[in-house]
Amino acid sequence: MNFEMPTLSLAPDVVFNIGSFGVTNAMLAMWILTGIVLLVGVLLNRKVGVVPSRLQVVLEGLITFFADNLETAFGSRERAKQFTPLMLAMFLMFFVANQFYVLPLIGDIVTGDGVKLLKTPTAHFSLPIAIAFVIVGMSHLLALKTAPLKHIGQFIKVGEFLKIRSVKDVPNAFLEFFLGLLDIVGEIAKVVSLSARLFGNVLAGELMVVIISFIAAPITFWLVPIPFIFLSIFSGLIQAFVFPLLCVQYVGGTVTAVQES
Amino acid sequence: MEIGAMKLLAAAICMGIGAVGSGIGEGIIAGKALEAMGRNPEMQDKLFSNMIVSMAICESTAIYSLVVSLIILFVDLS
Repeated sequence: MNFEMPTLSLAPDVVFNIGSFGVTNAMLAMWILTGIVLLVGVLLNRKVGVVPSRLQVVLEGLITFFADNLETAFGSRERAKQFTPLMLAMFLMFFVANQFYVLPLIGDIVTGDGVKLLKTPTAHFSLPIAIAFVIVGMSHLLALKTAPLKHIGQFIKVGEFLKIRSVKDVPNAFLEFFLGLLDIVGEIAKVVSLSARLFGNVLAGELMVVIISFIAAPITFWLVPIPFIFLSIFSGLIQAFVFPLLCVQYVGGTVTAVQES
Repeated sequence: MEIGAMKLLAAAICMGIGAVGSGIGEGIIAGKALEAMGRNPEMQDKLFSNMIVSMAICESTAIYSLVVSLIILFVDLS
């Protein structure tokens, strides 16, 4: 049996157009996965009770996990309650999306033009970078809402110049000012690092399985990649956990830095 | 040297050098976390989740180099 190396592409293919807006296969898969998560949530919500089912126990454990993490990050129970649904939704979405390619056959459906109908959504850079951008942007908006001048003062440290009492303080003030400017670069790096981490892990897991099954001997090509599939499932799970936790840290850090006097 | 050969070499060097730092870092994290767990086994759950998060942060430099080398290999930049 001889089979060709599948073509690897980083950019998703356009499946169909709505007006001038191209719907890619990654987007289509994301919509379907969102629908599945919503459906499970609605169905579970109907059966929710005092005597919990197994799935309910798992989800309640997740909610308390994220709520506790948020409480330590924000320092207040109310803020934690506000943000728990967002972080939990992000976790559930990535949890399902990262494992998308494990589903058998679904990834191989091809439309008439030879374009794959569905693709792992997180292996396309737009989704992680969009979500990371929204989260970091949200943290800054919240901080601006609570204390606008103080938040801007953290990055453009003009206040340090006002504190100058003697000639000795001048270099220190300049240093603080440039460190503040560097923090702006740090905020942009947050977006890049959050998104590139998720994207790289998921894409690497997927490509590794493809490449390993290609270089394996013809008869054992289905057996050899199994450990690598386990590895990539594990790393996808870890990344699904890490992304919301890092978002919690970023949002919490930016917001509490403004609150504390 | 041909551009194709150069690309392969660049991807390999990028991944190889990029993985060194994060490998050392993750080893230090795992070692310290295991040490702490051995000293105080009741904290195990909390330490483990923190260990995973900090490992993922440490891993990010390796992931960047992975993304860069994947782009070198699979994206036609010319």
